[in-house]
Amino acid sequence: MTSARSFAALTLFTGLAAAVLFVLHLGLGTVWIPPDRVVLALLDRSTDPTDLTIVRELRLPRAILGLLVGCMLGLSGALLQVVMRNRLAEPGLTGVSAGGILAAVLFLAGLWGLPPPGRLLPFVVLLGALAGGTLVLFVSSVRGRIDPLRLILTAVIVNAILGSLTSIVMLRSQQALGSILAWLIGSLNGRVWDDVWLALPWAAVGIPAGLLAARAANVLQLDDESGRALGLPLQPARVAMFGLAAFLAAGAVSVSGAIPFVGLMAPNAARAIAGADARRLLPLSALIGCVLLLAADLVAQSLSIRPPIPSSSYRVGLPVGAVLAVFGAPLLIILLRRSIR
Amino acid sequence: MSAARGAAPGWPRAIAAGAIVAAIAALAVAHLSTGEPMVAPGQLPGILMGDSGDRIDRLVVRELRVPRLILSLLSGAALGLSGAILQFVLRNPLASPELLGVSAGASLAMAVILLLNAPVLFALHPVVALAGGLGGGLIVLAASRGARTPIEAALIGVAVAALLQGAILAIISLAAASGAVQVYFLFTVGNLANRTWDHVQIVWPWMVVGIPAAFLLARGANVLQLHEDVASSLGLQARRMRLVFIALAALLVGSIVAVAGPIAWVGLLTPHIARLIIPRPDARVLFPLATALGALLLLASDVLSKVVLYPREIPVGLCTTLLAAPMILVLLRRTNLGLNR
Amino acid sequence: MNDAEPLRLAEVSAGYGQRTVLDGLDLGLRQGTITAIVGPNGSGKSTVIRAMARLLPTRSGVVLLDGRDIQSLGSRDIARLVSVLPQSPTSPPGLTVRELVELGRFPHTGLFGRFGAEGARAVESALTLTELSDFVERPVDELSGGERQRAWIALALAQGASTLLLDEPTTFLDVRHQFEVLDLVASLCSSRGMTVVLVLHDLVHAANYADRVVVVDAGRIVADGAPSEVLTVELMRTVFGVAARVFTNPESGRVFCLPVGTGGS
Repeated sequence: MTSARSFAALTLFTGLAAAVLFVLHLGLGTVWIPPDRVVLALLDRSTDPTDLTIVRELRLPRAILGLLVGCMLGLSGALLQVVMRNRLAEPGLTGVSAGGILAAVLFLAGLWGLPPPGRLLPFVVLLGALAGGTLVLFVSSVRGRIDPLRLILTAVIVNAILGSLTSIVMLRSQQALGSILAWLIGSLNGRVWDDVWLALPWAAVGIPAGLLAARAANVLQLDDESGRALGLPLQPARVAMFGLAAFLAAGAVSVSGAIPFVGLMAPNAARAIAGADARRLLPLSALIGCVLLLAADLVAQSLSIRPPIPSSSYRVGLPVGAVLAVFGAPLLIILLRRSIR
Repeated sequence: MSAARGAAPGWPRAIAAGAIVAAIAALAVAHLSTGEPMVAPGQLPGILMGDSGDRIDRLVVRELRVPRLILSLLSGAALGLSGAILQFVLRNPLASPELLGVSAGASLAMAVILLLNAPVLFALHPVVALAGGLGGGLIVLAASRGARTPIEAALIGVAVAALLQGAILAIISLAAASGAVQVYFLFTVGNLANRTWDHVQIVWPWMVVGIPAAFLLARGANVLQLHEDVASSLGLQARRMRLVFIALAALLVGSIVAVAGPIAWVGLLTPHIARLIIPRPDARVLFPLATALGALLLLASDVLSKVVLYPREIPVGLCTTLLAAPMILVLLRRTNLGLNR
Repeated sequence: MNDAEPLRLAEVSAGYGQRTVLDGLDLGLRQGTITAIVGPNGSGKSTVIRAMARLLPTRSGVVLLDGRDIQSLGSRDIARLVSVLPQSPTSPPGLTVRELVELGRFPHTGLFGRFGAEGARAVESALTLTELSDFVERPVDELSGGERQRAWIALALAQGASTLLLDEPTTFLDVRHQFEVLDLVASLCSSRGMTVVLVLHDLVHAANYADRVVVVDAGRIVADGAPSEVLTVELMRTVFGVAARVFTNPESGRVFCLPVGTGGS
């Protein structure tokens, strides 16, 4: 579709956009720090100790998490779309997020009788995410066949059921879960370096693994007959790739909650730009995921600084997930309408 | 009768009606007895009619449980009926308040006036919710024009509902104290706890107008099932009639959302159960049946909501999801909800 | 002359959105006859029917129903005079033949009126005429194509209108059922004096069944008359863009045209 050179240019451009957003993101907050000073602080060349503290200690972890989570979600969504051969698949529409959240809530509420150490959380989320995704796949397959539209309808309903169970747990243990609300829709507010260290190993394993899966992904995009003819063991490949997508989503959900739409929009944007070849689709989708999430978090932050609501008496952060829902849903509608035509 | 020739058989109407009435009566007794304090069913007649029984019991039953019983019957009736109306006149077996943005729109409108302290009379809350519900419904109908299949239209409804939910969460995050789990549940999950005669009072006039009006217009709904040109050439002002029905459905749902929040899935499920019991595409039968079944389903959910975490109550919306959503999944697998035709 | 015209379009223009489909069309129907409307795709054939029953508002011109301006009539008044059968209508799953045909009484009962003995008679006679009496309890969506089309015609009959407008009633039917439906229509016309308009694709059917053939092209009438006058080699070339032979069937005396190619034009 696009030549190698223009693809490189595209990737470079998207990467640049991510970098610019990253610097802007570090500058924004109750105190605005202009980009030049942000860069100086990042390079440890700043002479202003406040700049150093604010940028490196307070804002950098959130921005890095934005990059990592955006990347993981973009990649996870692209992998799921390949596995399910459906451009509407994403972590949120496949039960993966809802399952992860339910597991996390059960875990954090101490219902498993274990004290909840933070490091275990991503593993718990992973288990829940895999279970949620498998449940949706299982329920929506009739005689071994999965109809894409029915799959998503099933996912909507299974998500509602999992969400209700989550709510019941939350109501049972309100004290333990007071701050979990923002998690339901996904948020990066108040994230610190500890959260980064939590997510980093998942990203470090999951992102390269996801990118390496591109060749298998290309075969899976074909119909089953051709895939088998090319010598790929289809079912194992599909299960592995689904697991990989759940792994990435679990890493993201465990630090930021169920951020919506990034995993849906990034792969579709990437596909529109670079075509269906997974070797281009997967990395570009990951990059676009970063850009989307950082941009949305910028909006969320600036709205939190000056809430556009007159009677608002609290200064709490707007969760980035709410921003994404408001801006992402119209995009989803456009996408649906285009896939309908 | 010759009905055995091919038309699918159903239950005899008298038996269906008797079974539903008996079930509602039994659940009503359970509903009035359950909760904190428990009241023995044998004491209920004395408490309701005379002056016997404990003073606290009398207060609880008469001032809290009876109005709540009435509200859950009314809410279920309104939701079941509006689901039947929408599925009939839009000729879409997935049409329902929750998949058409009506519930979410009404809920957003309520969140706006309550969280921003807008000066709106209590008695006018249903009007506000109605406006929101109509808004949400019109967005979905406009966005799904040209959708080829009911599922596609429903998915657009899901997207719009996600958008409106995002907006609700954004408002909660900005205008309410952080981590306000209770506030979140107030606007995203239907709830009947702590409702009093005041709430009954603002709802009943809408029900008294809306429910009989829908029954009276049922013949028009029958004609609307046909091709629009056929309906028009039979002398029915098809477009106007369809709008009247959509407005009726929005009115019923809006006034319920105003006092109970968005109670999910009753509207979608009930008409399908009604069609299982009496499989006639005749609105004169289906509308009353869906109304009664909706009341039954919601009453059952409400009893459940008092029992699950006894002595604590959970929002009834969680129970309707846990009861109705799995049934929808079963129907989706068994009959594909009539989507094949 | 006007008295014998149950329906007349006078200088009617109509269209959808920006697009004008009918452009000053003039057409009067004669009582008790079958008029076939033919023309290439997109010529406006179906729109003629929709304008006749006020399913589409006219932009200019007048539609006269029994000599009265259709704009001055209520929807149910129109429905008692004209019934329309659109191309391949769908019925809700499970609706039985009887229930479908009973819906045809809507113009007489309205939302609240009583069905009554007259309604029951009309439904029975519609079912008898269409030979559906054995199928009354069968769901319409499970009938064969020909039976289903008869059920829809029965609905139109139960309506009690004397003018019947049918939009391509033979599409999707096999050849036997095509003749069955058209024979039914012809017998309704001769035995009950109904005025019928058929929008047809198939010129053989038009020549066989119609008393009069109206050719519509680009929203205008380009030919109008008895089949033998209208269906000529010349018309086939100019309107449909095909080379054709036209023969006369020695048995019926009716013409039939046989397209043989695109005519190299």
